[in-house]
Amino acid sequence: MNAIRSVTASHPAPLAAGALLWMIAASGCGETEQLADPDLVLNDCAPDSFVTSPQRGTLKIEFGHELGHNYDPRCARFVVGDIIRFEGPFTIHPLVPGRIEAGLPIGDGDSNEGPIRAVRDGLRAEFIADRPGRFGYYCDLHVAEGMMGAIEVVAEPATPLASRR
Amino acid sequence: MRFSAAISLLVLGLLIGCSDAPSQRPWYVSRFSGPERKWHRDLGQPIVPQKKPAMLIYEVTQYPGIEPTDEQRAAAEALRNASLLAATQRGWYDFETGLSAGYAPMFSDDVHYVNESFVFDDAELDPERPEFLMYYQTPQGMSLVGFMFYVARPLERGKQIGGSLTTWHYHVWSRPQCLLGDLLAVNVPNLGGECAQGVPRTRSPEMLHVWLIEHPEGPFATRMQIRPKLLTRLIEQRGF
Repeated sequence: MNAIRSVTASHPAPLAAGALLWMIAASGCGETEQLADPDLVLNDCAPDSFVTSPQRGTLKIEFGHELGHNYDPRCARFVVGDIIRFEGPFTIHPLVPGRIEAGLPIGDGDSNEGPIRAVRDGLRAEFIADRPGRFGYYCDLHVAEGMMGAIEVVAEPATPLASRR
Repeated sequence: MRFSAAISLLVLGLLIGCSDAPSQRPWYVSRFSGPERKWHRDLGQPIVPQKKPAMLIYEVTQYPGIEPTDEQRAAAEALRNASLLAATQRGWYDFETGLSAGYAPMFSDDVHYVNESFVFDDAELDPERPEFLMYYQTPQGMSLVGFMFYVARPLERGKQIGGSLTTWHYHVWSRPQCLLGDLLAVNVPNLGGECAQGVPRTRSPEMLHVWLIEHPEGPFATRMQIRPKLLTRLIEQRGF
């Protein structure tokens, strides 16, 4: 069961009025990609490349506009319970959760393993980091150019990283 | 200035005309996903659209791994120089001037600005009539970073005037787009698969970038993705 917590309009296009700001708490369907392999490079994100927000709560991943075909930060670390916020034009850069290998998505459908869900419209989407693990995402149109990233969700702010190295 | 532009175009025209006759050369295709290319003979068979992702890029060449000749290098350089000159003389570095010259945002794209009349003319690789201008958003405003040329007709092969330096590419969409004149994406089909304008297609025409900044992968690089800090530096290096 996915719990959609809130939807707020932030896009000028009437067509998009209903699907603009999402807040999705993921459900527990599917298997999580646990932190079993500390050396795993996921969507070009090495284990030591994840950026932690200076403030607990919410970290914004921006894309498009002045960032072009890039996510910033591309590799972001969250603590369970944090809010993962994506901001940018989803119509031009549709967000899809999933792992990329050799430039192609793995699996047949959108990944349901992590908190991120596909978003194809609007300017902002939020998800709850509800489980530990590393989870990839990419732009459905520009992944061939490397427009992809990953999030890492840890159970506690500092200790998990130290203990894994 | 105008005289030198005319000379550049004349040289470019001569070099295009003097390029070796490539019609007998076989074509090769490689999916674009990183710095490495895996070229396969392009037998002209239609590419079946992928399920995922929504869009893939394929590069095509008649010169896989072949060093360009001096003539091809000269032709490539002439094309870029003529493009730099045309951009300056036409005032396209100024975004508003570009818009007033007939360039408008392409469907579902925030970088490519298309001039429809140039798309549907017969000119090819004409720096005075580039089908697309590429503007990147920067903190300082919209910045012209390059041209994009189209072939004149659907499924036509791009002229590799610079040999392996000038590698063209095309896109394959998992779901059809509506191509006006079988060339220019203007929308997606309705639920019935029909286009109000254009025809539903899963493959774009071939296209070639000419970068007006020092793109790290070369002046004709396929890759659109440039890290913001690098882009800022490259624009600063240009000096305006």
